Amino acid sequence: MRPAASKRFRVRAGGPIACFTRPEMKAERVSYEVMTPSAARGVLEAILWKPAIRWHIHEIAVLAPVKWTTFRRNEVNSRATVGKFDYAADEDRAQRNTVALSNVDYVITASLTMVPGKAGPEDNVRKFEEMFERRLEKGQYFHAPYLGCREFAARVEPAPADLRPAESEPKRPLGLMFYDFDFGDGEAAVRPVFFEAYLEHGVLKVPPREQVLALEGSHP
Amino acid sequence: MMLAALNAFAQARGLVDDPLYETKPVDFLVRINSKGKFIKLESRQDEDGRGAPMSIPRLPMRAANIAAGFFVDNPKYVLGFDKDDGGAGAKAKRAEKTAARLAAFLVPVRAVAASTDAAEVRAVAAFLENDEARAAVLAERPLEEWTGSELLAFAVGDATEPVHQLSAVREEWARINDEKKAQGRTGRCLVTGREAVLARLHEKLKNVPEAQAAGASLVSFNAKAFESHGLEQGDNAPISQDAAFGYAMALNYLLKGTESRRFRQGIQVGDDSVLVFWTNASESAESLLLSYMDPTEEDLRRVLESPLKGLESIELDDKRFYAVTLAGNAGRVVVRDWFETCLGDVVRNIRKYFTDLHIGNTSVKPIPVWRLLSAIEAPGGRGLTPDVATRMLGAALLGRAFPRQVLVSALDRLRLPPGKPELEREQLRLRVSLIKAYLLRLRKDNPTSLEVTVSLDKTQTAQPYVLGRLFAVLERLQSAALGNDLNATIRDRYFGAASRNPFTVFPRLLQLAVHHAAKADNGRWLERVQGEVMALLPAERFPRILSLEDQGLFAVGYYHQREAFFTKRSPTEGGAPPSES
Repeated sequence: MRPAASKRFRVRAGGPIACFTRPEMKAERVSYEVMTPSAARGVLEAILWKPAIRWHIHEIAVLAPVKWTTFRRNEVNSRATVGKFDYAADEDRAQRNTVALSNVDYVITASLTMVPGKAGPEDNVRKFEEMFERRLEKGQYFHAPYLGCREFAARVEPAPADLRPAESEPKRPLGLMFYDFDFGDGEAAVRPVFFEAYLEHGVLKVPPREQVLALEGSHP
Repeated sequence: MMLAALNAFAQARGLVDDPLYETKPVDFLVRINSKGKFIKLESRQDEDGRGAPMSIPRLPMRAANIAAGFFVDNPKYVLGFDKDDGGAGAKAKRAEKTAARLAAFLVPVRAVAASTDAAEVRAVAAFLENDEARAAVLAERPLEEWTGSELLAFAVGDATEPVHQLSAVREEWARINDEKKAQGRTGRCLVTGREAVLARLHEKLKNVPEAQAAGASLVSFNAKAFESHGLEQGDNAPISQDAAFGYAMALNYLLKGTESRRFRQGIQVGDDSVLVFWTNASESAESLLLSYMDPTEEDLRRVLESPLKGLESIELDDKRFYAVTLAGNAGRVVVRDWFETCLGDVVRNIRKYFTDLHIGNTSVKPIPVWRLLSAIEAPGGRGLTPDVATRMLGAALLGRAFPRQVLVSALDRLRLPPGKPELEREQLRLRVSLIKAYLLRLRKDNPTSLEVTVSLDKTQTAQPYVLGRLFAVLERLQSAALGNDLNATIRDRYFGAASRNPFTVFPRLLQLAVHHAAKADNGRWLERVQGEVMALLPAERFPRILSLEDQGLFAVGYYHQREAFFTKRSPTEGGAPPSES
């Protein structure tokens, strides 16, 4: 049985810089042209997420024209290790380039469903709908919402109705785009999942998760 | 998208037709007899020490690891050569490594010897197992002449065909590769979208500026911080082996140096990066574009007769143009910039770019970006930020505005006293043409500024332009009066001040001009020109200060008037004496 879906929320997210890193070029980062569905999910989960709900992205409208910027930063080679304190960043430098987007503005259309098994008897869609709307209105979040990378903070607000996408081209292919990770269940390894992306009149239509996973095939 | 376009390019141009073999310079042929006894070492090197190219089984990717080639490799693998570079202490370790290399090279040879009955293969195996024979080969040349990076191939008896090209060996090589491929993990490739064997490591790119000489990777995950969710190496970005090979072949093809160019199809941008471009049109269209954007001396001579004509022949609106700017970062390749656009637009933009730069009475002709930039660089080759070249190419290929730094630097350069007189005229032309192009593109966003013409516009009444013309007339008067070999002309001394603060300089210059006019042979005529020019000035003749854009216009006016003096005037202008210097 399909769990009941909420109504569709429209959330506007933008900021001065964004980098939705392509997985094939992530050591020296190059961004996708348009926000990825997983980045959009990240923005929404920053505002409201509980184990009992799951977000579904339906559309991402691109309000500002695609503009690029590039910079180089001193980063490090290692990941943070819990409990390791004797770390000197200067001895572990990696200079990395980033080709990022500048001045982005998106409207994310999304809904949420309940996760069977995780939702308790007191949980229902209506409750989370109202929580989300309240939190979005007040500007509350669990962690600062961001555009692809934590350091590129997003300005998030309910989207007004009269926004128009920047592009009018009927259908522009963006190539295969990162959809999200398939975290699998239990033991299976995490794997990245991709979908064929098109910008239709400035709107990225995101296919439902089941459809993308079906295309990807089962776990190897 | 970029990788997909590169992969498609490699397919279309047949760069991946033969993935198992590559053409490399092979320096020596080790000739042995059918028993594996060494006969002689045949050199294939020319006088510069380069081996003649030969098709060989593709060598494996190597960094610090040990990976042997198939029947062809360098003396470290084939002969156990180990250059003693004086590193003490590590001797035992080196000997160990040498033994491991030899063993690695021998493994496939033995395997092939076991599965085929080719006598040549058994001969090679016998040779490799014999320490003395190997030492004999090394003794053929003085030890210090071996570098360790020569390529060696085998030939048996008096056969001309090297062992690795025998059909039995080729079959084995194909079989070994199929087996290796079958071991790889399959998955959906993010470039082609098809299910295929995924690559763990990608082929390296050669000849990227500032990258390691041995090659650098575009797609790599060589530190923990670059990996996600516990995925390792290629699993982070599932790309099929074929696609990974395809894009790398395409880039290597485009980056490879040729006799006349540092990159086959790339334009050097600044010191540290290269813009590589390709299209899905024809190779001839690409080379034509290249000869306009980055002309060699020969290209310049060739296109001189029909400037920009050639570009008209490639109006292909349905074709795509791709360009990527690459730079090296030690072992990794950095993408600085990437765009894809319509080839027709690119051609139109290039033509507009050269028309915008065009100034004076010469015909429109291509100028390499580096030459333009070196004309406005401060003496000593410093002062321009690295992105200026990138933005100049953006102005040329995408029709963007010229960077403002071009205006600033060109004006700075004009204020300095001129350099060598024989170069000066050309340098001045380049500087002013950059200023003109900058002002023209500025106009798009700012409709109040003025049209800048190609050559002298006598009806132009913009104050800075007229002042520039006046300055040229005054300079002319001076040289007519005092000759050309002055220590310091008014241009040397006053150009900067006159263009910045006309009010403080021009009154004094006009005073001087009265004396110059009295001395000069053609003083009367020049005074008349001066009068004509000054009549165009408004009532308040000299402003106190000019903005940077106005200073640019001043320079253009100066140049136009100056060039007008150089070119012969038509006889209809009447009675004035000829003014050629």
